[in-house]
Amino acid sequence: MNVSDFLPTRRQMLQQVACGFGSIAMADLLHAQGDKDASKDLKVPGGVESIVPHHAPKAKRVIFLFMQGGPSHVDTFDYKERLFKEDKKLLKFRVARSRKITPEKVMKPLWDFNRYGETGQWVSDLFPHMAQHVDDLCFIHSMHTNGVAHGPATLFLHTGATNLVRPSMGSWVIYGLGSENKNLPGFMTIQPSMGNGGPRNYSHGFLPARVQGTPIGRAGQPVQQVGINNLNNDLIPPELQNHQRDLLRSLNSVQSGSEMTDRVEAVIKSFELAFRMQTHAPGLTDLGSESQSTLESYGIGQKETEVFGRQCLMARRMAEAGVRFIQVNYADNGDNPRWDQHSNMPLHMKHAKAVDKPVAGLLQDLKARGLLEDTLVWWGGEFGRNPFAQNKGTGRDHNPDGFTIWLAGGGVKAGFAHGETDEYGHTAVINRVHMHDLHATVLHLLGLDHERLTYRYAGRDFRLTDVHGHVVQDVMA
Amino acid sequence: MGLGFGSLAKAQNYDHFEKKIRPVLVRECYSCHSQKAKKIKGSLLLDSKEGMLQGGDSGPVLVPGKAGESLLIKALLQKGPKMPPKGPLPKSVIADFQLWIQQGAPDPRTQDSATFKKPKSTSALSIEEGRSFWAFKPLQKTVLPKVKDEAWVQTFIDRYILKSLESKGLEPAPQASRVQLIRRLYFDLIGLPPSTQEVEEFLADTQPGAWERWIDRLLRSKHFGERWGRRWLDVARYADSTGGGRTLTIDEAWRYRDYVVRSFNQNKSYFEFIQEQVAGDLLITEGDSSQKIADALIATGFLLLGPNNYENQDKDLLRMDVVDEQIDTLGRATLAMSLGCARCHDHKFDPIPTSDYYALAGIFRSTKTLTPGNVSGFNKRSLPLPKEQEEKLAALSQNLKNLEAQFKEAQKETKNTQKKLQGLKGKRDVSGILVDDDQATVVGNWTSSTSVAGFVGKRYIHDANEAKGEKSVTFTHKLKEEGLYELLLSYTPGNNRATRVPITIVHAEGHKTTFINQKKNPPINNKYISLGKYRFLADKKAAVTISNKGTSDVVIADSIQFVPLNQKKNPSPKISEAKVAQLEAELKEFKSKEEALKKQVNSLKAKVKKRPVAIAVQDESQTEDWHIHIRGEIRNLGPKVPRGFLTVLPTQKDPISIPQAESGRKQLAHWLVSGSNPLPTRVYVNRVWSHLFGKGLVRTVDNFGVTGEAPSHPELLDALSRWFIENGGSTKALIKLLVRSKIYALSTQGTKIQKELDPQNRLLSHMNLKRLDAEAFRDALLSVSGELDLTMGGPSIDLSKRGKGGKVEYGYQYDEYRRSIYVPVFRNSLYELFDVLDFADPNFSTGLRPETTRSTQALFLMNSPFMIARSKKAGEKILTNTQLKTTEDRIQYIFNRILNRAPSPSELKSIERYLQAASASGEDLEVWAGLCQTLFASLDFRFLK
Repeated sequence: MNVSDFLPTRRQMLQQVACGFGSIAMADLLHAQGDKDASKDLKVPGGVESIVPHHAPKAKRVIFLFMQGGPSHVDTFDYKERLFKEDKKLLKFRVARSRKITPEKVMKPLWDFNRYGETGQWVSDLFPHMAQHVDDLCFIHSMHTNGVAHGPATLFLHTGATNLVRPSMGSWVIYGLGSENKNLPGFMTIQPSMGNGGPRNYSHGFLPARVQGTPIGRAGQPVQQVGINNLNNDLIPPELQNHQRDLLRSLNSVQSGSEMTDRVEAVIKSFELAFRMQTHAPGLTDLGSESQSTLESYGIGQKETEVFGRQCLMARRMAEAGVRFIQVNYADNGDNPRWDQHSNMPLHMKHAKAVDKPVAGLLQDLKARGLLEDTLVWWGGEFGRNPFAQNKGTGRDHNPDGFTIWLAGGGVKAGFAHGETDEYGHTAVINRVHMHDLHATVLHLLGLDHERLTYRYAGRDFRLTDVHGHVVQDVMA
Repeated sequence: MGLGFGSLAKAQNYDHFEKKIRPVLVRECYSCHSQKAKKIKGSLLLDSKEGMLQGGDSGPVLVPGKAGESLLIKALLQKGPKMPPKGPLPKSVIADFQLWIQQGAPDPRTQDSATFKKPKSTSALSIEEGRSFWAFKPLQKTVLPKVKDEAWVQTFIDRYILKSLESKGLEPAPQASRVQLIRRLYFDLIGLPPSTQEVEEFLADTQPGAWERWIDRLLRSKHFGERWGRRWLDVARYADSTGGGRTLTIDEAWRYRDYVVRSFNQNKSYFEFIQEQVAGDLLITEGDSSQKIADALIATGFLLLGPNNYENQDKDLLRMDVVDEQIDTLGRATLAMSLGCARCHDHKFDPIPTSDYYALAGIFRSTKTLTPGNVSGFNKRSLPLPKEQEEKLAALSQNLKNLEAQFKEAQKETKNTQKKLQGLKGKRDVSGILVDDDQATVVGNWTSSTSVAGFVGKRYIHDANEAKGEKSVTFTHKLKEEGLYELLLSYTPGNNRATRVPITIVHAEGHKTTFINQKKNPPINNKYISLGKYRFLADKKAAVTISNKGTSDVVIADSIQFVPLNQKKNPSPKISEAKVAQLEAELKEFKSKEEALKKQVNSLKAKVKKRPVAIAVQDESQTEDWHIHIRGEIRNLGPKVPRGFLTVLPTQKDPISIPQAESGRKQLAHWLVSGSNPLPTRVYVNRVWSHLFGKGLVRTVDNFGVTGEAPSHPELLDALSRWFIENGGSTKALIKLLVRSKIYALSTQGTKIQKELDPQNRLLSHMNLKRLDAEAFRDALLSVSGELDLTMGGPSIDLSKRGKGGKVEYGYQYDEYRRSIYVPVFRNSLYELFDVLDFADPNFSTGLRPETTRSTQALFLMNSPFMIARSKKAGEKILTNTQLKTTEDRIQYIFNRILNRAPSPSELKSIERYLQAASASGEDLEVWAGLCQTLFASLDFRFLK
């Protein structure tokens, strides 16, 4: 993988398609927008520049496995002996929600831990399948973030801001790199939640609308029915639609007449692209051509893993098709989503069962197809959970001060762990990695400098990382 | 102090610095805080003594001798700014720093203070430089330009445009066709297409002044306010929900929307309009009509409509975020300035220092916007009503008060009576030996009945008022114990009962006949009457006979009771049965009275509750100047700055000052519209221009700052601004002036030479091609399909239409037929058609919507159920129209409906070809609907020529 692989295709695309997803839309290029700020970066050749990576990329694409609600790191990957030893002990902790130091009852993990792989990393009994892949994973045990409630923290994870309306990280990536496939959107999110910010989590914000994330269904829909909105309809016979297409082509050619401007041309081409998408896109969600053993490896056909298994397999198909930022959501639409076990930690088992095998299947499949080396896989939630019981009950409250995520593939060290929380797993203390830092690191792996990936809006240059963020060099392979 | 001692001490202390401090600084800090850093963070240098003492944006980092007060130590201890960012240093290292500072922070790294330069953080214009920047200059007086082709000129605007065209050697394009013009005018002024009849009517109107008449007609239309009000709603970032994590609906937002529509329809002065939105509540004067007062309060909803995350747990931060959003929106909307940039540092480009930002922040911090809560809420205020309604309401309230008092009284009476009654009844014990009518010996025909309540057992019997003297009922009983008994007889009273019923008692001493009046209520327990006390023997039958002899009216027989009197266990009840009956009657009355009152109270309450409420601000009880937040951090307070406005803009002769006890919003409103402030007028006139001509004279309509664009015709902009002020800020007059001009009527077709010399058409040699926005597109579609519902105003959100799980914003069942301005605007999930067709992002104040061209739009037009349904309706209209005899009739009809014109020969050919091909693959309706759908997707429907 080197830069020269990248450039010609991108430049060709710009010449070939006026408004493909991969390029800067012709309309953006030539139609002076109301806000000069916005169009400044887009003028030729400035617009082309933003499509060239800042440095040689390690990863071409990202698959983000979003664990909505905040899985507990101390019950999954962050092993702390003291929690077992000091179970039920009253100790003082600084509680993120109240911002006060109060006595809290230590709660030991509900599952046993073991070391796995040649690198001997700790995984609890919640994830027996993922445990088989620890030698491919790069753990960050010292995550911390902004926002104690789901809404702000989820928005922060996706956009780098708890309150202000900012573009989603996927949109930033497409803004910076465009899409690999001219017939498909570059940023897709599979069955996203409608809660906790909903579409704002994949929205383009003030970036051009073409970098908006394309939702593939939404949380709660039957997974077999999801697809790109309005890709097809079952109301008009396909043959008739072909005639409509022919009529539109000839009407538009008459109506554009001698006034054919670039704007008008862009509209005409947008239809051509839509026609092509109708041919190409359905394959992303159609798993009919997958072998039985592939389906089984993702847990498809088993009740608990059916939904997430299908989502993960779609993600692999998208990765193959050149979708650059793919988000797979283990999510629902509630205010207390999925992994949010405030009063009933044992429920973590249900969620672990749903994702464990599919995630392992995905890793294995990507690896077998040679996709893992240039695909960055990211597993994690919006925050972690406390090592003590909430209200001295049987659940754990949110913890934005210390938690674990893992990365795999695309240029990160395999079988590695970076950073530590304190001896109870409460606060990240060694090699702390803020969510801004993780954003900077992900962009870096894709060949983008988070300080140079800027967009001028309303008189200011904006970044995904605002004025923060440090690339975590330690995790680079 | 001896010199030698001093230098010796220093030498020792440098030792500590060199060994323990400098290496750490170099290793941990220099990469961001030294002259050699790639980028100096926080304007802080730690590579010299001067740098450390002077500090950065957050002030000095060390106080020699006082480790505890030094920011450097706080940062190392992770209190306040956490340094180094990677994580805390070992405790022993921090102790070294503490010791060093305690010892006076001796530092050999001195620099010549003349050469030491604090890193400069901004490159903005100074205030003085800013005052000569075009946007901030007072409105300039201009001389009307002279043009070569005087005859061409229609309004003074045309002169400015023609002049610049002539100077470039360009000629204006020819006029657009009248058909194109009427379609253009309808969409521009009311956002709806003309009907086929209206087009015909206009084409037939060739009298002089026709164009003006049609302009006036549309300016008078109530739909004018819907079209132009919606444009202001873009600027006001109007929405029906807050967005953010747990998005809240803003149930009263629609009142603001309707106020905006109303204001445009009333042609309210723009200056009054913006003043109301900043400080309407403070500008109310005595004698204002209730509608005016209500509007003044509703208008301030402008400040409350922002996208804020109300569940944010850090309420200090939330408060400042709300203030920030208010400042930023106000700045963009009225001044086209991005003031939000000055929250963390002086504006990087524009002459807006941070102190100006916090001068405004003081005003908004002194304004109440939020209400407290885990999830915060909006401030709300009650609205006044028209005088007569207000009086009615006052009378109703008084009534309610009175009624409530009466109700309470009635409740009390009921309670008291109930108590008394219970007490009384408690003492009584009617438990004798019962003989019911079904055990009695009956002579003659007695009728069984249950119609009057209060009988004993399962029924009572009566003589049916017949066969008088022939009927009797005898109750007999063999008592087990000899003794004195009170004899009780039960009956159900009534008006048709006999008054003198003979009753004969056979007892130990003989027999006795007594008479009772069965019209009267039985005195005991409403059931019994005492027949007196008699002695009865054991083993000898006691008998009581009711006869109908000598009676007129109905005789009742129900039961009798022998109540033994000579046993101590059963003392005779010492209560007045009359009293009980009386109390019971009273109780009944009180209860019904209470009930009636309750009904009245409730219905009145519902009426009184109808007083409307709006989201609106008010001044805080405590109003005060506020601190600068260093680097925008909410807990990093700098000096306080007096409340005020932007320094760069020209001040009046008498500067406006803000009294301590007021928020300053009133003064801010005055400052915005004061004659000496040129920005709001320039900005607004430019906004109106951009809507009519597709682009502004200043194309960056929301950015008049240094990074924005200079006007293409600065003299024209100022001439229009002055004209606007002279005409009292009348939007309708301004629009009329613009659309009356020659240039508005130009064709959109540019010539080759025009495109060559002026590729972006900044000189307006021809009209810019405008694309229908989301609302106009949708409203036109519904209008063609015949489904458009033109009902105006009212609440946006219908709770019965919310999605699954009770969430309003997600899965909301949108009303498909009302005008688009009444479709709720949800911040987290926009209505699909809006989202696809570039509706304004309600999270930002938007003066000119970005126009994107995406395949998602094409997919929506091709496949969305909405498009297909509208097309089908339009197709039905064709097929059910019996006046359309031929295929060509139908094509002509639908072209006129959708494009307001006839098809060209080549279009006609294409359509005929389509009809032929399609009829093989679809039903008639599908084919015609398919034609409509294709026309909706065609360029001439989506663009205004």
